[in-house]
Amino acid sequence: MKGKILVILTMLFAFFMLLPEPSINQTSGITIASSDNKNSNSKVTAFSQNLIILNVHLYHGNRQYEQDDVSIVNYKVAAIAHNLPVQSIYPEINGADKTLLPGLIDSHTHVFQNTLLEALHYGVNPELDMRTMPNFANQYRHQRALQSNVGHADLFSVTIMATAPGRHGTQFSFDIPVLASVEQVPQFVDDRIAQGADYIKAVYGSQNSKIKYLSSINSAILKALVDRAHQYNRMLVVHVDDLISATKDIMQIWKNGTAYLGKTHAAPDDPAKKFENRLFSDFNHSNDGQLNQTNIGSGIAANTDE
Amino acid sequence: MKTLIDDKPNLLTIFVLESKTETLRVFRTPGFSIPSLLFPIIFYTFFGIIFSMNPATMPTYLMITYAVFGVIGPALFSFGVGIAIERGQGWFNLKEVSPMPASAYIFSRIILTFIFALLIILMLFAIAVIFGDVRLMLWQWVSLVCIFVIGSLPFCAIGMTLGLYLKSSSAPATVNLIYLPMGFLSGLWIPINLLPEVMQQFANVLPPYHLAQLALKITDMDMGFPILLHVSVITVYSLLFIFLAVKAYHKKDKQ
Repeated sequence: MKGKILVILTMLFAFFMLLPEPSINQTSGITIASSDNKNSNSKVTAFSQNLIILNVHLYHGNRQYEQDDVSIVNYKVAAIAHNLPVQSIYPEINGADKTLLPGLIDSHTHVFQNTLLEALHYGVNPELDMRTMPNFANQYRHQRALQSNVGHADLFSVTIMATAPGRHGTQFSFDIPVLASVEQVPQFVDDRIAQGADYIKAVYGSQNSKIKYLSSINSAILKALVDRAHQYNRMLVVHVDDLISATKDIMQIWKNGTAYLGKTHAAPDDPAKKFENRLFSDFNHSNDGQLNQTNIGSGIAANTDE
Repeated sequence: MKTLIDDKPNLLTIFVLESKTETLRVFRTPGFSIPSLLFPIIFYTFFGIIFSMNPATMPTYLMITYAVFGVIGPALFSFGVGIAIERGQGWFNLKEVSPMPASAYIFSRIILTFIFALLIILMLFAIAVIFGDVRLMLWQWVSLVCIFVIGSLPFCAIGMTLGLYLKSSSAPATVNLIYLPMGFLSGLWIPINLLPEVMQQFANVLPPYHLAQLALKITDMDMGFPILLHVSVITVYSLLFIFLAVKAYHKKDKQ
């Protein structure tokens, strides 16, 4: 009996010793994209306040630099140069055949539990949230100011969207304030700002659209929203589902803005066609197809500095 | 080893013998043991690995929640259904009149639950490592096992209460009716944050949710509530059901 128990305990011990541990040869909080994909599964496990990345390809948004050394001191990039003097006290990462990127900006995301953590794991930082609950956003918003590694992506958030009763935004089983009249707009925007919204987002569907929306805020509310948002020097981001809402209404109200579209179709003679083509070329060029999944739907951001 | 013929029976010997025979009995009735062992494994393989929504975190997350699901199963069934059936057969009464202390009866079933829990956990870990590419530090693996095994105790109390209240004919169905929905609503089948807000709120009253949250803290995947909250809820449930079980036991005596 004692022999048996001993055998079982030994087997248990052996089992636990055989369980694999995560590889910890990558000690950086920075994503290093490997061209040979060998390390594509390895996740960030720890972050060193100071470190040196040697011999890495560097791409900072519009230019690629070959085989540079990058030193990071106190969580900040301190120097980029060929053959940096190696500080032996700093951990070193061999960046050969790898590319160092700045954090990818996810411009349309809905954050909830763990998504900010995962975003950082995949090299996305910051996250521009387009709808979440204020309580959740406030847990993370203030940490943007911290220089140290807080373990998740920075968050900019719209908190609650401005939408009409029963329209998109109300279906997530959260009890959110909705807009039925222009008079409610100032209070709505004030509340969002007080709750820490970084920008205001509205959901809009035009009366003239071929899609018959059951309900939507009207253009007067939309105008009031952007005016109020601009008083706070905040941007108004508008979610639209069709080109007519975008081009016939919103682009008429504001000549100045930025737009991106996921997927839509316009007749060849439609003035919107030009708009669409430009957007698609922009879209494909800047995102390399990678952000397709996150940018589902379409939207227009009216600039604050119009 | 000492035998039962000793002058003064050693309590430990009784415990060991009872546990041994109880374990032997269960492994000789594969109708109970095989489904209990395979149920969480199969579910995990489907939802955690084959239909995994996110191969980076899902296998780890669901490995933990299905382990919780796996360990509360034997606790509820071995106590709940086991005791109810033995009461129905009159076996429970026979054991009561035997000189064996009642504590040995409970002890043996707790050991049995631990053995089943451990088997399920080890199989889940092996599948998670081989097919789900799950990687954890040794301290995390070991802490998880400890939480799961110790965490099965409150469910033993719940099972014992059910076993003493339920009739042998209705016990299997009733325990299933508690076990399966409770597992789902506690976020053991799919992550709790994918459930609607109302259901997330409701999960707060369910003990498996709190056990899962405690275990998920090891891998930093929990909802971020304090450890004390989870421990308190589980403790309150344990005390409540121990009280109910004692009450049920004495009520049965008067009949």
